[in-house]
Amino acid sequence: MICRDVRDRIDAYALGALEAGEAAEVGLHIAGCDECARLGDAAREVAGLLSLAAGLREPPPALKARILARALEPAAASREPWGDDGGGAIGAAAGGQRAGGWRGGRLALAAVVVALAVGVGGLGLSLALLGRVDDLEDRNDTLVRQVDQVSVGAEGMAQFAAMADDLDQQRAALAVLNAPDALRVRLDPSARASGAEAYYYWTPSSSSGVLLCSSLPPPPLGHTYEVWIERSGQRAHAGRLEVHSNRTALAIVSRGDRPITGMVVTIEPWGSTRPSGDTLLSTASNAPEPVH
Amino acid sequence: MRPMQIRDEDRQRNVSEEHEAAGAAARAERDGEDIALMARIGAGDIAAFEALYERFGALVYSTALQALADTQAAEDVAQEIFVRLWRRPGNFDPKRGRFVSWLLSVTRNRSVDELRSRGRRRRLQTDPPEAAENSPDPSGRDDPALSALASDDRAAVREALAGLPQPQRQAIEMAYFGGMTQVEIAEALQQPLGTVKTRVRMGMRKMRASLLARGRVEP
Repeated sequence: MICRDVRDRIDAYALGALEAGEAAEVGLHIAGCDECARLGDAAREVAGLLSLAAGLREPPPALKARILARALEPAAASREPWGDDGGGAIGAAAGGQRAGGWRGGRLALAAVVVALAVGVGGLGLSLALLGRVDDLEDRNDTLVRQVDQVSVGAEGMAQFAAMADDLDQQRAALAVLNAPDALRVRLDPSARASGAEAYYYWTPSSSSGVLLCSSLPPPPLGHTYEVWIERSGQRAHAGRLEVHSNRTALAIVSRGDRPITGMVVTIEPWGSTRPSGDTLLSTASNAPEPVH
Repeated sequence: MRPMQIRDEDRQRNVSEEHEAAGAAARAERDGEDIALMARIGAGDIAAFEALYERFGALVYSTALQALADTQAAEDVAQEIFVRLWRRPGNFDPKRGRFVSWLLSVTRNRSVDELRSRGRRRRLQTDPPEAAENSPDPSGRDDPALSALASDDRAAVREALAGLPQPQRQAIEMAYFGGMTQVEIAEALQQPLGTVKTRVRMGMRKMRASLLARGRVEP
């Protein structure tokens, strides 16, 4: 789907009025296109305010107590700091990253879904789980049931439930993983990520793909993992890799209209705009292979 | 006589512009307070979280209830939204729009997902904006922030919606308040899908222009 197609659909997308498959395509595109994402934000702002047109209903008084009690449960120890800089500053997301903001929760949700599957049997099993169902809506329901059946623990389920509203990004990732023409390339871990497993998945017809990683160590204090695409010997920034508490990570990576020759993830100090740090993951000379 | 009429019109226009400017300033102040509360929540301030609930609890609950037409399910969604907000405050990025619109968008999306996960056994119950407009605020609350929301943001949204051509307004209401896809709307109205798509697109863009003129969305 190209920008013009997405922009024709962006208002219906914001209203939730697209069919699931179409919404997934739009979600995937805007995850990798700044201008369409900006238009999507504008449409969502209008859609969000529509709720104000209807009447207000007072919630039961007990709801507040329930919410506060739930927030203070031990699982709340997994709270994440404000914004991307981890320091509590308002709006300090560095470098216009796509993680965080409107889509941050979706990335995290997808990370949880994939992580839970990876946790019980590796990426192969996660793909098997993801590929077992037909319809995008059914996929989510099935994943929820499967996740439930493998007893991932209360905290995992709480995180899953807490983020379950942000399904679009998950659907976008699933759309890539389950596309019949999906390709993948392995990223080799350096000594800084010994034992990590990482693949970049994409389809020839899409300008965006999905980078999935497991067994990743968290970045050193004051550093981030940054994703770069390589083309004609040049590296271009393609996003930030946020490591989930269970050491998995997922990022939607836009590769633009032209083919890329490689992908690397480097360890960068906060605010770095160039790939100057140590390599964490690299496609090296690995060749792409079909997923299915 | 005529010059006097012109002066009256000018005066009315000036009063209207002053009113809009004052409303936009109040809105900006409230938005700043929302961001400050979120920053405190990011630092783990539970009192700020409680204050945010006081400010938006009724809105979130009402949005979920409007979609689900089930008080228990609406409570569950509201709980999920607020707990997630506490655990992942960084999901809101103030550079990408107003907090209130983000919060309500997230709430509504979660509610529709919940509805669809039930196999659409329940269709959303529309609370017609016209009826709500003429009814007293059922919250009956004295909270000044909520009153402010009710008196200007809510009025601006209702006016923007009311200003749309009826077919566009109908399509948006069926999508948003009825939780229907464009395909379902086209079937229900027995209209070509392309017509429905155009109505949704044009209607949403007019809504945005109207809300922008009233200072209710970011340029």
